[in-house]
Amino acid sequence: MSVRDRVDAFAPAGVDIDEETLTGVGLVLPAIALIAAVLVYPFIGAIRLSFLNIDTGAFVGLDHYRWLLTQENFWSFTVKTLVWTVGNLALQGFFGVTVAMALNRQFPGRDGLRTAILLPFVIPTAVTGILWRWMFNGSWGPINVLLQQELGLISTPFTPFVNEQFTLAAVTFVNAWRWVPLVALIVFAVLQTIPREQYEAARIEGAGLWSEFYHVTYPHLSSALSVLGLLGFLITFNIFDMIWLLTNGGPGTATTTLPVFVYEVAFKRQAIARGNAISVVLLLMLIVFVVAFFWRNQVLEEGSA
Amino acid sequence: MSAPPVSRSRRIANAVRYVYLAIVALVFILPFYWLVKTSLQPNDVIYGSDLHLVPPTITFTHYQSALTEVGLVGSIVNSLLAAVGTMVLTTVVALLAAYGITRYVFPGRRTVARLVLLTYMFPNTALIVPMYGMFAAYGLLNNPVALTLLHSMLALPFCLWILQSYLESIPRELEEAAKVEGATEFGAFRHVTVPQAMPAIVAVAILAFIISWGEYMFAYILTTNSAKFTVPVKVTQLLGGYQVDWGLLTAASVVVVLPVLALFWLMVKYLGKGIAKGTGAI
Repeated sequence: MSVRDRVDAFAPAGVDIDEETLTGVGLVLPAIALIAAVLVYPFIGAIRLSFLNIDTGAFVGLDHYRWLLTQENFWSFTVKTLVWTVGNLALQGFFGVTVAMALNRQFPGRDGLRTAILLPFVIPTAVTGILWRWMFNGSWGPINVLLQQELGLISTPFTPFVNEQFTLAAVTFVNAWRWVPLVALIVFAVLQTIPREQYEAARIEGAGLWSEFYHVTYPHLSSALSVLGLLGFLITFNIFDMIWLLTNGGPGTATTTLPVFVYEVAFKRQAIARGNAISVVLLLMLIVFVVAFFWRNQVLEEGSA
Repeated sequence: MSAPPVSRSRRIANAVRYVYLAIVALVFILPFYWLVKTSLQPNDVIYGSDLHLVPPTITFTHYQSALTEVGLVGSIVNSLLAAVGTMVLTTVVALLAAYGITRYVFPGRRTVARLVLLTYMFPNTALIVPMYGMFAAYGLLNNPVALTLLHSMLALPFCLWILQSYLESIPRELEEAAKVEGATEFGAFRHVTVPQAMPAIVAVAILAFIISWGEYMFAYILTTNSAKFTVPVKVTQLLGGYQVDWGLLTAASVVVVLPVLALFWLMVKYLGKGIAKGTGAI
């Protein structure tokens, strides 16, 4: 069997492997190879480990998954992860859109301001962690010095990263602080593509601010926001470093979201296989979310067609 | 044609706009100003009970100790190796892929573009264990090559997305004309497409650098030798222990932010609206 015959045998009937296809695939191949080698292959390794006893290498079936389901904490951590993710998306969506809209009018210094507020996004997460721990430092942090000594509004220091009541809200706030500038930049870019005439037409028809937003701005934003929402959900759900750098998942388990739980179990408790089992469940949750997202979009498209 | 009369509600809305932007500027920029300010003050002012918006005295002692006593310079070199590697690898790989997806018709190209973005589904924490095993087996722990590969994987989806939407927005007529005039496919790519896409290429290169420079988790796990720590790992090490030296810590933080700021400033200067254009075509 010649090489030619073999290629023909693999090519499905009716599909020509022409030069254009070969070049196109060849150009995309390095990107696919990188993701396959550094993401998919190790992840398959993680899935495999989740079915093994690490010490003996014996196959233990679903033992680690069964263990996970008996963990009462698992459900509360899942809820916590959802609260963290949805809270972040709500804050980033609201402030991202409003900041972009506020910037969407020419005034002196606008471009400088637009650039300067990107600062939180470009500095390393580790520095963000240090920065906010210093801002909220109980003894010398500016926020507490201001509230306690200068204004006398509080009698004991406000330390949200240590005080269980506020920790989840505080880490959500800091993470949103980091991402709002990027969301605002992207939304701003979309706003710039909306033709001026549409606003003028709305004004001539006597539209108020709210109906102008609803009838002109929002239709242009909705598809971008939907993509941002999907990516934001996936990225935020999986965030580990920001939470770890601010609170180590504590105090207690106050900020233990699922990725922090994976780290706790796999490294702190040295139960690597169990940690991997949690990761696999985490991925499955996100796959369900993505499928639901695309399914809903399809339903909406068919509904409007 | 005269502009429609400005209503009262619009005038109020405009005032609200500027108040809102002032608050936004304060919230996003002031904390960083405070970090810089702390790093320039002597300890008795840092740990004093008064609030100074403008530092009463300035000292560079914290910078001196950050640069000479804690090995920060070494970790800057480590970070640079990984970040420059990431910048080159990500930009080349993403540019080739974006060119392939936008300029050649082949089955599955749209799917590829979408699937790459969906890699954000994978929980990175799950990769730590197999990744550690994989790089240990190849002897790549404490090696910038491992971090380059990893950080490129993290940066690739976003960079590919920006490049792809940018390449889609630039007209192909010039490329076609070059080919008619006898240029090879690669010649047209190099001399026509690349110069036209330069704003997006620069944006993507700098974005890849920033992502690598700031990445913490993998850099922490894959570096066992403290002489090979990258800057995020280094500065968080300074946070450990009972007594945190805030002067030193804030000075070190400012030092590691500076390269990123410089690059970012260059990018803005060079690009103008390029980055907004790149991200706008969602």
